[in-house]
Order: sequence, then C-alpha cells, then structure tokens
Amino acid sequence: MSINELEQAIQRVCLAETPDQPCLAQLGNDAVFRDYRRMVRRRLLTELRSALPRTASTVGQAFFDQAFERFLCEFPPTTRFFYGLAQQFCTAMLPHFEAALAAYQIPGHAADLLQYESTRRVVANLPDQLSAAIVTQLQEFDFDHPVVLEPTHRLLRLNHGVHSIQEAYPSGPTFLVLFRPNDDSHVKYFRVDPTTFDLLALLNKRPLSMTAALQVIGKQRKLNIDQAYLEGLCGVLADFIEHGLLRGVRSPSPTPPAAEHT
Amino acid sequence: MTLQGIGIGFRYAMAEELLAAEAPEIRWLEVHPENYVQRGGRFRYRLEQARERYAFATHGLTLGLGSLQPADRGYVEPLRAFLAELGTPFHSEHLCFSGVDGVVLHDLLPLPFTQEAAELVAKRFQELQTQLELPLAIENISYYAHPGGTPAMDEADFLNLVLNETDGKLLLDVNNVWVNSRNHNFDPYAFIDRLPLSRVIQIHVAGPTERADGLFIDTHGEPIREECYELLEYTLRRTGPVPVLLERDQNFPPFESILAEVKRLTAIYDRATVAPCR
Repeated sequence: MSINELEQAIQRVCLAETPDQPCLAQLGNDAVFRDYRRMVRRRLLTELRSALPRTASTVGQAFFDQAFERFLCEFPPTTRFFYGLAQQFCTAMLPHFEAALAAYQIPGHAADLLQYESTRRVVANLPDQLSAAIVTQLQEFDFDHPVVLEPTHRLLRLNHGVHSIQEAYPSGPTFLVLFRPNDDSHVKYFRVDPTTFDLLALLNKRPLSMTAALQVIGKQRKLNIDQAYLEGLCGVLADFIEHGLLRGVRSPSPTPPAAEHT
Repeated sequence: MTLQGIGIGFRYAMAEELLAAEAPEIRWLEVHPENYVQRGGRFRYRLEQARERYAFATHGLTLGLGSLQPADRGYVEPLRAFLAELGTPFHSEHLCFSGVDGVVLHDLLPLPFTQEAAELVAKRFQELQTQLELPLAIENISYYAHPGGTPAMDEADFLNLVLNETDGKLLLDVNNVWVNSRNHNFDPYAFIDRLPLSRVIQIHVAGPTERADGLFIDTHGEPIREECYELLEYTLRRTGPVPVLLERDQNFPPFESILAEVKRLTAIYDRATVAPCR
C-alpha cells in the first residue's frame, strides 16, 4: 500500500463512528490501531469537555458524546491550536444543538451555553496587541474621533442569560460583550442593552467616532438622542473605560509645519 | 544562541512554580509553538516572563514531516515570525503525520518504514526548513504498530534513510527509543549505535506509562525510568554535550520532583560529557 492509502486509512479508523474494518485490515494490526483511535478521540473529547464544562453537564454525557461523534465524522478538527477546538466544535455543532432544542431533547439554554463557553475560550486566547499605528495615535476618549475598543472582545447575542450561573435560565434576549482587558488575563463581560450592542457592533465594523456611530444607530432605531439618553450613555462609556473595554480614540497629532529654508 | 545542559518543557501547569524557583540546574526551556503562535492572554504572559530568564528551543506538534500535504502557509509564516522572536537556534518536528487533507488529529501517527515515506519526509523537510529560514531537526517518535504490516526496513534503517535524504539534524528521543525497544523487542543500545550520532542536536527524555497488557505508551506523564537514565548516559558518552530536555506534559508531580529529576540528569550529563566515549 502507498503511504497515501495508509495515512488515509489511519485517519478513517480514528474518525469513523465505528472502527472501519477494511481500513483496520489494511493497516495490519487491528488491536493497536484501535488503541490509536481511542487515544486520538480521548484527547479531543477531554479537551472539549474541559473547555465546555457547563455545556457538557447541561446536555448530559449521551448527547455530548453523540455531538462529538458527529463532529468527528462530519467536521473533523482542522485547527492546529488545541485551544481552538471548542470554537470549531461550536461552529460546527450549533445547528445540531438548535435542532435538539426544537425537539426538546436538551434544555432550552444549552445552545446559548455552548456559544457562551466557546466565546469565552476565544476571548481568553485572542492576541492582545493593538497595531502600532493605533497605539501611536491613541488618545483619551472623546465623541469626535474614531473609537478604539479593546481588541480582545467579542459580542454575543443569546436567548438566555447564561453568563451568570442560576438555578433556572428564563428565556429572553441577552446582549453580552465579552472582553479581556489588556492588563489582565481574565475574561470579563458587560451585559448591555440592544442599542449599545448595535453601537458596539457598528464600531467593530467601521472606524467611526461615537457621534457618527450614534447618528447611524439613532436613525436605524429611531432613537430620541436627548440629554437623558446621552447622560445614560456617558455612564455606560465610563464603565467601559474603567474596565478596559474602551481604550480611547484614534486622534492623529496635528502635522507639524514643514521646516522652512531660510 | 546555543543551548547547553538540561532544559525542561515549559508547560503552563508548572509555569508559576518554575518562575518562582531558584533552579540554576534548569538551563533552558522548550515550547510547543502551537500553544503560543497568534495567541494572547495568560499563556503569552507566562512566556514573556520566562523569556526574561531563559533561552528557548521550539518543538512543533502538528507539522509532522510525513504529511501528505505541504504545511499551510497561513501557519508557517506566523510560526517563522515566532521562532525569530524567540531567537531559537533551530526548530524541530516529528517523524510522523498528524492528519490528512487539512484534518489535524492532534496526535503523532506512525509512518510506514518505506523508501516512499522517506522521500516524502525529505520533501516536506526541505520545504519547511526553507520557509522557516532556520535549521530543522527531526525527532524519532514512539510507534505502537507499523502501518501496513511487516515493514520494508527497521526503524533505525528508516531513520538513517531519512537523515541521508535530508541535511537535517536529529532530535533523538531516548525515551522513544526505549519505549519502542520494549514494544517491538529490540536492543536500544544497538539501535543507538546504528544512528549518525554526530547529527544529534538535542536529546529528549521522559517517563512512559506501562499499561496492564505490557504496552508502553509515551505519555510524558511518569518519572523517568532507570533504564532510560542508563540509555541517556550511554548516548551522551557518544554524542558529547548536546542539550537534554526533560518532557513532562501531564500527571504533574510537585515541582521538587521535577527539580530532583533535573538534578539527576545534570549529574549524568556532567559525568558523561566530561568523559565521552566517541
């Protein structure tokens, strides 16, 4: 057999829902290649259970193991970063979780937990450096220059408030910003209102000043941006600044006048 | 930068104790780039702390040199930048494969000992060494079965063939030699004698786990075995002073136990390299 056929056979033995008998026969040592299968699968499953403990506990072992089987068969891992497995699992298996929710096979908040835990994992590991170009132009926050948010953040829109552990999780729209301040390794979160969520989503897409972003969102949501609204927003922004989500604004220094020959 | 003496694998689980310890016997550290490339947070923070005190070697986990497909450039370029940032004198990868068609199984899977496999490894080796702009070393793995049945040649012949087909250095994992010798019934000393020891650039030692059925698994989760210490000394007497790495990746004992192993390795290293037998 060629090396191509042998490597394909080993991979099929490791990934197939049941050990592939023709492949095992090709490989020539049934018992030991079953051991390889067990070792590969145990390592991946252990990592996923460790990264998604609340999700695994909520859906129960049988459902989680079944989802893992499906993940291996249909969407085998392609990340070479072990810590990235949970995100791949979430991306691939979220529709499976949602279908199971609809059929009342798992608790209603399970799909939200999957997203929440995998996003926490992502945020915990995001590279944390602003580009040098932004750092040199970073100034204290004002309303007139493009807003600079901490790059280690992600927005998450859920149907249950699974960010805090409770006995029950009543359904209702939940808008979260998960972030890791640049001087801290712990993931934190803000629960925000839908308007602030949209504002942050817009600022993620385009380098806008807060004033410009407010104009866009105000128009979209038909908001009355009055004094009371602005005072409330200022309180929210002050919290963002204090906890490190809002780093400031990007404000180029005035260009010095060109030197003159005299 | 040259690495000398005994190093240990830099693992997050013991990073705090390592960084707090006064441990002059630990001369350098080794990292798996897959745990740091394009990653921030606490792992990166600990790495930066460790870089203030230690030199680093790098040892890859997922670019097995027997891969059917070339390494993806989306990873190789940030890897190259990471290696340059650390100032590692060389990089090493395993004589194995870890997946096909973009799948990464996160394990070291065995290659057939064939001319075809050696030629594939040589091709991947040259590609990767060129892309990384750094000398590349090849590590022998523990394998528990030969894919495809009876091999065309034995492991030592395969390793020699691979090294002959490349200009690669050898990262000689003495524990893997010992594990393979027990699982496949050969003399580990004779195996060492058949290798081109002048090309050994680094040595790994670790502790395997013995299963109830007698199979030894390369878990890096147990203390180094007496037989492995002896094989290391035998090897060092023949290679001269190449850096030795203690790998401990799971089932972590108190840090004092790791230090005790490092001290014993240091004594062996000093004894063997003062009176080499080349």
